[in-house]
Amino acid sequence: MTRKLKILVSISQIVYSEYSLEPQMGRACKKKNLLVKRFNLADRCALEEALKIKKEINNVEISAALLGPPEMEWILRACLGFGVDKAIHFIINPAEYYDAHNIALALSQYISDQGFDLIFCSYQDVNSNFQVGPAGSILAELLQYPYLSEVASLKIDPDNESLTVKRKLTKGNRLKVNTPLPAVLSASTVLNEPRYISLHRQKKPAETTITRIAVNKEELQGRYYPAQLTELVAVSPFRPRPKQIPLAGGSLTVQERLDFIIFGGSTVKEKSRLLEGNVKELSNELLNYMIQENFL
Amino acid sequence: MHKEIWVFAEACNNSIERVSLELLGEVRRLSKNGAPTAAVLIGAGISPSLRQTLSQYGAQKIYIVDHEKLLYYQSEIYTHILTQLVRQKKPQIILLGATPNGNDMASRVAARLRVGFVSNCTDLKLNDEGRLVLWKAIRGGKSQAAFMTVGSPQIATVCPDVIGLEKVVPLQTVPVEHLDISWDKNMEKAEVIEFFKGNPATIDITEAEIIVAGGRGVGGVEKWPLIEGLADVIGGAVAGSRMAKDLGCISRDRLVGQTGKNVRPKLYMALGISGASHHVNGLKEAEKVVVINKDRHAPFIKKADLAVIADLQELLPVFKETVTEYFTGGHFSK
Repeated sequence: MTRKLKILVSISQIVYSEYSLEPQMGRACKKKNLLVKRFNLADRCALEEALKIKKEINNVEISAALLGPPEMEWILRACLGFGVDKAIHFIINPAEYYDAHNIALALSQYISDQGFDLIFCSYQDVNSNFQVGPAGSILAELLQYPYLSEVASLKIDPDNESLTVKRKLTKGNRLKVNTPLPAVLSASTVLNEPRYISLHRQKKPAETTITRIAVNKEELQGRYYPAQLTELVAVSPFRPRPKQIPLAGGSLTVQERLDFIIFGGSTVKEKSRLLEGNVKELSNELLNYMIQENFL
Repeated sequence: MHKEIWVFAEACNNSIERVSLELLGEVRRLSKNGAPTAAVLIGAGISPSLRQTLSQYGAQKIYIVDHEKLLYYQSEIYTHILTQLVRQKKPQIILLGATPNGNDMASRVAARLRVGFVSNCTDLKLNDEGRLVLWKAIRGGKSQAAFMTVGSPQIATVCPDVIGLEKVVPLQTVPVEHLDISWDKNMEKAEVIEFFKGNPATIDITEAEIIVAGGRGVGGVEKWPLIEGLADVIGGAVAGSRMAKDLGCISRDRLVGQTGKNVRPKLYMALGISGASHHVNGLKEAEKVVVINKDRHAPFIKKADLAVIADLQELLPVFKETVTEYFTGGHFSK
């Protein structure tokens, strides 16, 4: 009989900024800015993969860990509904800023105590408000485990001692890698299609208890100095960096010129270039364009 | 004397990732206070052309670690090499592209050196004290936050295409230092089995750099090989609009738009697509859009960077031939 495989899926807290519209009598709808907390898609894919492994191999125990404020516990309840065996909530003070290093530190102690074989820890994501992104690789570094990011497919070897994954690289390239267990992985969103919770499973979470562990920043600092390696300096509405366009075009209107001054670059798309003529000339023009723009 | 600013030049298939070249331009701007710019290149059988490219984009010095075992990225070994280099040379800043490998290595190196690291930055500035202020998108891209790292060197990865390429400088000879860094066999925990080069015809359209998409104007399944033929010649992935999907020309996973996928290629060629908002919504982040349509009043024409008014059945065979001639080195007059 193969040994028991312990899988941990670490879930990050994702905060989206969204608008909601409030209908108003006789007036235009009022726009309200909301901060919506969601279950990260990459984490859902990781959870789905863990559940698939559990279905294929009998002796598997899945735990889900979340580092977040108390109100985020619904994510762990959802995980239990999906079929997770254990849920661990690392409770933090929502007013404090936790960087990836803090998160990795908080998780590392628990992971080394429990002896997990496979740890899914989320990948870089623009939606994170705690800069959760690289926590997986920092965790691997702290635990001295191998780390594979952007996992696009995964197969546990029959002996439960190693696994083979395909990593998603740029331009559709893939890298097939074999690594011994224990290992830290970060799932990519192409790994699988996450499932929804079935109705009969929705009852299970109420019967299962969630392990709660309070995380204290001072305690982390005492264990590993410095525990926090980044400082949050400012938060503002997103203003994309202007591309390197040195001067405002002469064709811009006054409003566009003002936008140009404010944003430091062109904010409007240049007018389309229209080509007409005979087919041979057109195809030559098209080819010229593609060469100029480095597409060929 | 100022410490160096480093750019990790990520090489894949004997070419440097575009984001690394963008970063070299950015470092040229940042290092106006006199800090030298150096590029770090790790790989196997590094060709002189890569060195030339790096110097043309602004590298004033190049550190090379060349070893047959470094053909493909391996987290532990690459991390060890870069960490050793940092300990030897002590740069003040290290910038990497926010690619899967770049993010992976940067965070591991930062953790090993116990210094801060910020991933996926969209902007970076030097403050009066010479520290980097790094901006990154948060909350679904609707807000941004500025971070500063603790410790030295300051490490960050920067998203591709947010900076843009600087003009190349004339080719010059720059000092190249070959470094020999050894590693323990125990570090080779993960073993690379195989590298799969992405085939534009089969890769997911969200990862494609060039997309050739067709719509109802192509003329149905019988004429669809025209689109596939062009995509094959220019190395693009085939996609389509809802109409193309309903006509059976493409599968569900090749559909672009509100009910399909959101794509962000460098070039999106829309052939015989009118440009309904449901479709156009899916390609808002495309860098350049070329539209070929015989209807000059189609909504897509106004949204394109280049619009060609022509009949696809006539233009595509000729264009395909022209591109083939160009690639085979035949005569081409501008």
